[in-house]
This record gives sequence, structure tokens and C-alpha cells, in this order.
Amino acid sequence: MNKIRVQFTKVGRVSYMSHLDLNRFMQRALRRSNLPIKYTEGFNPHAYLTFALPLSLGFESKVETMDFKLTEDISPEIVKDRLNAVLPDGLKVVSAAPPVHSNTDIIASEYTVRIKSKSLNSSELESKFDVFYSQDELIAEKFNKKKKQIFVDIKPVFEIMTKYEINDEFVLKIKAPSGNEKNYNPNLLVDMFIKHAEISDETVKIERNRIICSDNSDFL
Amino acid sequence: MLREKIESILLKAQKPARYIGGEPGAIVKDIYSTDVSFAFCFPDSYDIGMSHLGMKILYSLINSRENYRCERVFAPWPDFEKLMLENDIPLYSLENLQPVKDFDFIGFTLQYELSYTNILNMLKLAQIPILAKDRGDELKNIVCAGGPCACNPEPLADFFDFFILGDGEEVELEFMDLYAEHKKQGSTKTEFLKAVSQIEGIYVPSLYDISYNEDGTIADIAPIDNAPMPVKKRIVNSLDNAFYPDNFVVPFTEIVHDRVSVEVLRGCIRGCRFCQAGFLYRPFREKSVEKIVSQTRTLCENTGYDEVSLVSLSTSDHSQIEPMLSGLLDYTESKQINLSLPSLRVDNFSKELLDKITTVRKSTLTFAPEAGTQRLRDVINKNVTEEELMRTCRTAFEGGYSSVKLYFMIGLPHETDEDIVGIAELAQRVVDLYYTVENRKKGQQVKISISTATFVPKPFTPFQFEPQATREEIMHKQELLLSSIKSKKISCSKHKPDTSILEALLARGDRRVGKAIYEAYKLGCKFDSWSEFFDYEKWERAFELAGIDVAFYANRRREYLEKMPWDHLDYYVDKVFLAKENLNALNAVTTPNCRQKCSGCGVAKCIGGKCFE
Repeated sequence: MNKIRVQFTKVGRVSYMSHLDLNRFMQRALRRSNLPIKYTEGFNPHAYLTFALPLSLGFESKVETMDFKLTEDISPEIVKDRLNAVLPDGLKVVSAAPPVHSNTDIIASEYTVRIKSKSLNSSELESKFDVFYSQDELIAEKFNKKKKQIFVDIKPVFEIMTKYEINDEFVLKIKAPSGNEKNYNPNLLVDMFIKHAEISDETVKIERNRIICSDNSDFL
Repeated sequence: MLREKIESILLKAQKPARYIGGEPGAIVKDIYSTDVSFAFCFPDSYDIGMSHLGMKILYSLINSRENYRCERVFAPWPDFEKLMLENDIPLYSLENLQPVKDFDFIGFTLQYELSYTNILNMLKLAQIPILAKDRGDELKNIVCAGGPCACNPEPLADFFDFFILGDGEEVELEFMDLYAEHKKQGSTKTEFLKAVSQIEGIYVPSLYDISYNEDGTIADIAPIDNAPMPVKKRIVNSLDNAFYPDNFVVPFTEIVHDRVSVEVLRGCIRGCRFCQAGFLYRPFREKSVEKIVSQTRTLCENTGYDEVSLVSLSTSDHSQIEPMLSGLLDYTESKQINLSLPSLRVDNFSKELLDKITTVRKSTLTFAPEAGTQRLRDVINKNVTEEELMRTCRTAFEGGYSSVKLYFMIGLPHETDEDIVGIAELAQRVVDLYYTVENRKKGQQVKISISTATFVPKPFTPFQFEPQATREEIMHKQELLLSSIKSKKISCSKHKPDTSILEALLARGDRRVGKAIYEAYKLGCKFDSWSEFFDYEKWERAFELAGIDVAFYANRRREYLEKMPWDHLDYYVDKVFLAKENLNALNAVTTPNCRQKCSGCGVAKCIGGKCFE
């Protein structure tokens, strides 16, 4: 059985598709592609699909991955082309290859966060952020895996890699723990900041730039 | 510009994928290189509207013409509507995210009466004047509508420029062609409407004067300026030759009917006296097995759906049902596609048919005896006997089914308490039957769910003359039914009759009822078919403001000779035939189905003599 991993983008209109919807959507796309996919047995056969990390609703990304199995030998290049022929704008396969890493290798993700506000310009946003981030601890509400509400200090969790202003946007590059062990959504930090800065007219765009493995290589 | 605004609020709404378009199968054309644009508006949420087959057909049909453009518009859910208003975002289409007010045509589909306030609300969100007379004489923003409720569009007459009667795919391009010509010539809207009224199947309400008698009934319906009288509906002659899409828009988010739908026949041979669709969609027309199979295959391949549903008023009435299912199953089973068959009748549900369904999936079986006693089933001409129902249930139980859903109506004409008790008794006999079936599924309890709907008299049916049962009568019947159920294996839900009363008013209303719709909309009524939004108190206030007496429309018996608000619209079924059928109901005399014997409803002579070879 040939396991194949496709790396794809999720940008533009398709970024508003939830993770659950993406799975169902991809099932149909795979059927349209007519690729020889391995299906489950039973009354409701569906493809075995694995996504490395769910992407939050509204986030964009160029590094999403999806794994499935083929029942015939087909070159990854053909898999890529056949899928791209049936995928809508914004969902594009950039590469297809047998998996290099295992999902358990993932330890972190990098994100670009763009914040815009009608009432505050980008430098005001940045100075607000500096005040916000200078606090010793940032206690956020989070739900643990058992859906229980917990409080965590997220200050040590996120790494602010860079921050800058461009046009009227305040841009943050953040590294956050990802994977099976620890998983932190950058929205945790962003929402807290927005609340702290007392803005209500903000537009926030978040893009995942990298999925990182324990050896610091890109997840492939 | 609009897109940026939309994206800035999307994540604050539930299920944002409903508001941004971009799905595969969506046809996005350049705004500036098309001649005529049509905003197809469904007056309910995306999840509901995207499931509607008529929209898929017309969307593909219009877009099949290179220089015409059709885009989809749905009613935003109230959370998103609030955000749109706060951010000054007008109602827009999903393909080009273009404001609806920029379209040549703004077309609504009238699927159910309780969506009317949503239409008005959508016009408001589109920033278009709600009353047709306030929209000016420039040739743009033609607001039109089709669909089943267009058979009595009178309550909506003040809001629309024209209505499309009958099969839309037959007339859609014709009036768009005429519009293109008039646009080129620089005509006014008045000139266009006068011209379009001459196309068969188009009804321009402003070209008809209505006068009333002192008792409130209609005195006369008079055409102005040579407008046709009566206005005939359009009919697709052959379903095989009719346009059918080869692709559907595949949504990002889950919708109600998330599957391929293939229409297998249109019309119905049965003539159940309460059923409006059974008369509106006459004559009966079948699609050939080859066409059904090839359309199924094409649509599955193009959409990637793994489920197909056959659409019709009564699928088992297809003369080639067995070869059809064999042909379909050959394909669907090889591709592991589920085939579902709604709309099966009790009387011709064979073991073979059941076997074919069960090879795919076991689910709850649903039957609609509609009435609890044979006498009342004869009154409504639902020609199903208890014996047939029992035989079918036995077959189903032997086939491994253990739950059955039974649909009934209450408040039917000539209904007595005995008929209501009869519903509970019939359900009990189905329960008893289960335990007499030797090879029933062991270790499983039988479950019968009774679902009751309140009867609503509809135009173009033999019951169009009948009063609807009053609220008190309906409540009494509901309680009687609940107290007659003795077994825990039978479940029955109760619901408030208010929506059915409103439906009765809107279905058989005249132009004066439009004022009540307008007042209700102004009071904030919308999504009336959703129980969480339905507010009958507001409607009652609207009736008051508009001076509408609901009982006059809902609970009054109408004489055979009374002029109905829809008498100038011709669906080819004679009023005399409807009156005769109404008398047959009174005497509990049944009428054979169209295949057994032509009952002379009037359709046959309009299509050249015969409905069947």
C-alpha cells in the first residue's frame, strides 16, 4: 500500500471552511479526482484521511498536509495534478510525496498574525502590545483535553519571533507549541491582547507558515 | 472592497462558509462581459436553499448561456444579518460578492408561504424599495418569482414585477432574451413589463385590476392593456429533452440534502384531494431509465458525492421502476454510492423493491396513510387500504426493519373524532403486527412514530373551497389523539397550530393580505418557518394593523361559484373538475388514478388529447 502525503494551501475563501467540513470536502474531492484511493469497508465507505494538525476556522496556511493510501502505483506528480484539477481556488496541492515524518514528530508551528484596527493605527497597536506583553504573566482560560476549564500562564508558551508594522497593519510572528503533547492556538494570545487593548473594530488575519518537527526541520 | 468588509465580519458569525462562496461547481463569470444578470434568491438560509433542486436547474441553465450570468443569494441567518447591518454591507451574491441591487433580475423561489417575510427582509437588506411601485421606471432590478406558491401570488402582488407560472426551465431564457433586447433599445420598465406579459407563463400583477364585493369576496379580475386572460402556466413537454444540470455546487459546509438529486418524474397520477403539488405539476411526465442512469453517473462523477436521491412526488409510480433501480444499482454499488428512495407508496412497495433498498442501507421506513380510517382516506382520495399498509409493514419487518414512521394529517374535511382515534388504533395494529412476524429482528423493540400535520386547504385542489379547522378544533383533535395512544411503543409529537393557520391565510389570500405581510415584516417577523423565530403575536398585531380577518380567509367555506383570487391563473385543471372532486369527497367516493382512467381534469385536452399512450 502506498501512503502518500500531500501538502496543500488553504487560503482565501476556503479558509472559512471548518476542519470537520474540510474532511468531508476532501472525501468528495478525492472521488472527483478518480484516484485509486484505499477506502474503508462497510456501509459507508470513506477514504482513510489524516490531517497533521487541524487548522482553526479562518486561518490561512500554505503548509497543510493530508495523508491517504493508494491502491495502485501512481506517481506523486500525477496525484498532485489530478487533485488540483478538482480543487477550488485557495485549496492547491503544492507537493505530493511519501511521508518523511510521523505526526508525533511535530512540536511547534509558526504563525503570522496581522492585526488592523480602524481606531488605532499600527504603531499605537504595537505600543499597546508592548505594554500588554511586558506583564510578568499572562493568565488565559483554556479548556484541557477533558473539556475542563483551566487557567494557564501563556507567557512562556508563545515565542514572539518578530513584530513589525507594515502599512496600517501590526504584524506579529509567533511560534506556538503544536502536536499531540501540547497544542496552543495563537488566538489565545491574540484574543487576550485585543481584550487588553480594548478594541472592538479589529480585523485579525492569521496564517500558519511552518509546521516544525523535533529536529527543527519542516514537517514533510 | 465589499469582499474586505465581508471578511472582516465573517469569523464573528456561525458557519461563515455560508457567506463567502467559492465552492467547486460555482460558476463565476466576469461582471462586465455578461449582458444580463440574474440574482437567484432563496428566501431561507444557505443550508436549506442549497438543497433545493429547482435552483440548481435554473442556475445551470442561465449560466449555460455565455452572455447571461446567474448568481446565488440566500437569507443571512440573524447573527450575520446583524453584522451586515452594523457594517453597512448590502445583501450580496456568493459568486462575485456583488450587491444584489446591481442585478438586472432579482428572482425569488416561492417554496412555502412562511418564507414570505424573508423576501421582504432580503429586499430591505439589498437596499431595494420593497413595494414595486416605489422602484422607479428604469429598466433594472426586476423582482420576479416562480415556484409552487406562485400559483396564488396575490398576497405578494405589491412586491413583485412579475411571476413565472409552471415549469421555470421552459420560460426563463425567453424572458431574459426579451429583457436583453429591451435593455439594448433603452426601454422603460413599464414597456418591458407590458411586453413580457405576452409571454406564456408570465403573470404581471400590475396589469390586472381587482374589485371586491361588499361581503369581501372578489367581484372581478380585469386585465389592463391587452394583458392575457387567463394567464397560462408553462409546461415542459419531455423531461428527457428538458435541461438538467451536469454539475452541482458542492458546498463547504453541511446542508440539509447534501447529495446528488436526480428528478425521475414530474407530476403525479394519484389525485389526492389535499395535495397541491399533485394538481400543480400535471401532466405526469417520466424521465427514461437511460437518462436517469446517465444523469446520476455524470452528477456523481462531477460532484464526488457518495449519495444519490431520486426526486419526484411518487418514485414508485415510475412505470419502469424495477429496471430503473437495477440500472442505478449496477452503477452505485460498483462505486459504493448510497441510493436513497424517498416518496415510495404503500400499495406498490414490493419485496423486490425492498430488497433493492436494503442492499444499500437500512433506515427508518416512512409511510403516509394520511388518515386513520378507510372512510376518511376515501374522502381525501388517498387510495391506500389498511391491508396494503399492513402487507408493506410485514414485508418491512421481515426484511429487518423495526421502526416505522407514519404520517397523518389532522383537521381534514369531513373528519370526525372516530377518524382521529383511528390513527392511534392503526398505529397499535402495526405494533401488534410486528409481534406476529416470525422472522422479525430479534431483541429489538418495535418503534412507531406518528407525525401529524395540520391540514391547510390550498389553491388548485378540490379542497380549495374548504374551511380550515379552527384553532380550538385542532387542539381538541391533538389532545384526543394523544389520549388515544395506549402503547409506549408509539410516539407522537404535538405542535402548535399557529403556523398552519398563517399558512392557510397566505395560501388562499388575495392582494389585501399583502398589507399584513408588510406589517408583519415591519414588526420584525422573519424566518417564520423556524420555530425559534416564529412569533404569532406579532402576526396578530399585523392582521390588526392591516385590517385582515384571518377567519375570512382560513375558516370560511367558499362557494363553488365564488371568484377565487387565483381564478385568472390557468394551471389547466378545470375549476368544474375541482368542484366535482369536492363533491366526491363529501360522498367519500374515490377517483381512480390517471393511469387507470382519465378523470377529465382538463390537463389532457390542453396538451393535445392524452397524458398516457
